[in-house]
Amino acid sequence: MRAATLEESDALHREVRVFAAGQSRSTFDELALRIARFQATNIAGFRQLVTRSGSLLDSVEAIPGVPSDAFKLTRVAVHPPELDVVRFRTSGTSAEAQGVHALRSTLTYSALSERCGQRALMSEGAAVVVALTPEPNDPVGSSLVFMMREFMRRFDPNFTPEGTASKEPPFERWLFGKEGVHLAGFERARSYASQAQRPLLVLATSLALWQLLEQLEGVHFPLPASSIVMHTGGPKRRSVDLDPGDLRARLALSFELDPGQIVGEYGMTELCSQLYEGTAHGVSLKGPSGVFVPPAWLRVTPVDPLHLRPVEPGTVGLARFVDLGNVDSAVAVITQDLIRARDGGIELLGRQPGAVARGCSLAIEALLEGAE
Amino acid sequence: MTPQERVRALVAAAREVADKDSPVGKRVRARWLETTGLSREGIELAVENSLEISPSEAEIEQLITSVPTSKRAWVLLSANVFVASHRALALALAGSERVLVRVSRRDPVLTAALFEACPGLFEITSELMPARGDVFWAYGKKDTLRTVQANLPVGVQFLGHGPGAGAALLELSDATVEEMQTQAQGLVLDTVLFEQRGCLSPRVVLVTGSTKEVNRFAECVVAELTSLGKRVPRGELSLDEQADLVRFCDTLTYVGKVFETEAGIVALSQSASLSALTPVGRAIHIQHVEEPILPLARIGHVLTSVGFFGSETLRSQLVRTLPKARVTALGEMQRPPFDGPVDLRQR
Repeated sequence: MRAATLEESDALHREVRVFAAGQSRSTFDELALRIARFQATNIAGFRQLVTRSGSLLDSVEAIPGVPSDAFKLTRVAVHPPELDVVRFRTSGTSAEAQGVHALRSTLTYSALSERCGQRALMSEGAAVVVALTPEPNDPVGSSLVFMMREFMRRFDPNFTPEGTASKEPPFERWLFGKEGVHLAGFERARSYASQAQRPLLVLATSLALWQLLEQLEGVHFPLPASSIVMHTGGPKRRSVDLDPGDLRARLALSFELDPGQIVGEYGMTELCSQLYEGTAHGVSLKGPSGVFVPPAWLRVTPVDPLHLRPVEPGTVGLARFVDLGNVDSAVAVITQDLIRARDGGIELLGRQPGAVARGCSLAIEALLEGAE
Repeated sequence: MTPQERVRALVAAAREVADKDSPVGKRVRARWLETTGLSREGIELAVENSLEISPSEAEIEQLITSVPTSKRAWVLLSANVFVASHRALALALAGSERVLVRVSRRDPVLTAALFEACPGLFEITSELMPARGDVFWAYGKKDTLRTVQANLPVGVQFLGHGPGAGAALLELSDATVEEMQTQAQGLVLDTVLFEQRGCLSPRVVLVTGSTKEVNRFAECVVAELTSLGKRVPRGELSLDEQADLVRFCDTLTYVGKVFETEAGIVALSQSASLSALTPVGRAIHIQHVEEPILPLARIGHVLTSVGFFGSETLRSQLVRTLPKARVTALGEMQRPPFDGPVDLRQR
């Protein structure tokens, strides 16, 4: 990789972080187009996509979206593998290849996810942060777990890097194991937060929270005032049956919190930015329940699956993301998630299932169901 | 009637249906245009290649020995490829004197035509009432099969056949141009038949060899697809099928190389990942790999058939790895011998 390319990448990263801080002179469109041209120059696959689409890269709408499947089939990166500092992998079955999003630096990812989380999850200066997920090993291969650790680092003043645990409080932060949620550990974290008069910020997948509810067997587990529970889809195929409204109601009841304190997050391994519901009290992000609001550096548009053009307002389409955080990978990504634009954000409406299998052929996705 | 006589009677009926000049042959063709989504030429191609009207006596004997016997058999048909009910009926008739069939509402044409051409050979019913000692043949989606099996009375033998996919594996090292053309022709025929909607249709194509050989083969496939496409126009694709093709095209444009023609799409990549099947509708993704057996083994549970070209060593390895897939020559994937179920995964 040429030094000039690295410098250009570094400059774009800096510019995106400045933009996210609200201090950039560049507009979203200008930055998105600069990144798209940078990627077209340095990634052969994206250049081919641009050429085939006939795009002149003269507007954000003209940037061809990279299908999320591409992350499973090839490397989507400006830089060579030896410069990777993390490789985030998508969840997958044994038959399915995992998608990989390789980052050359985590600075931008950390800065952007912190800003996203700050405005949706932090109403006070500090929280006690725990995650209902197993303790990760280094290097972290899950973007979600990486983000959770960043939130512990940024939002919890007691967090210190491993090995310098003098400030660490007497509770565990990673509260999920083979037996499910560590209830005793969760109880210690709650007690500590109560004594410290700080809210608890619980980070979890929807699946882990369902597991927790089962373990609690209907017993209430009140959390300190202003506590927030962040839940995210987790493994997509398994979350299909989990109703978010039901989950929210049951968690609110169990934790004795206002339902708005149960906050949904939407993120993808292929993106560096996240969307949140803006329902919690005292946070800067505002929005109705069920609407996921993107930050200023992420634009989400529902597009029709045939021509990939924006659909009429209020119509369901595939999610097309333009994420300024994806400086070194794919600034525009097309997913199979169905969305509808509403109230400054999007509603999530599940996955585009692909064509219904006719004849005795398999539907495309059926391959991923695994052997019986 | 003996099992042989029953199967032969059914084959004779199929022969009459296949004859485009017979009254029943004319009628079914008009209906197939409405129900299959294939072009007129696509229907004819499938009848010529995939409706078994001249099995050998040895095949019929093998078919008979491949099935369980019972006095009575039930057949639950699904909207399969439009010629599939012929073999489904043959299997039931090979093992049972009395066969009762519930046809698919979406695809009743061939069953009704065979019933008309050979009255009394089997019965058409709207109610399935199997009892102890019966054999129950069921075709459909996995969920349907599970439900049906769970609700059968004790003592009924269940034989379920779900959806599947085919793959092609070619070892191109030292292949001549003529060989490549022949293999490309076979692959394209297997692909165009039923517009890849069959459980034997190739949805994965793995190729080994030098870059030059693989590129040459891809060119041959494009040429053959274009050529056959002129004679056999593509049928109708649903909006979802078209959307899958758009996504496939964009993904493969990023990952490798795409040759888009009016007749269909050929893509070439060096990815060994089988993270998704190629969509239906004449899409061929040639994946240039170093080691083809492991990727196929990972999706072995869905594979019914592998079209193969290569050395005996690789063939043996393939057969050992996928003992329940039919390994055939390319161009033969959609016409397996009439020797039992096309899908051997239940064996």
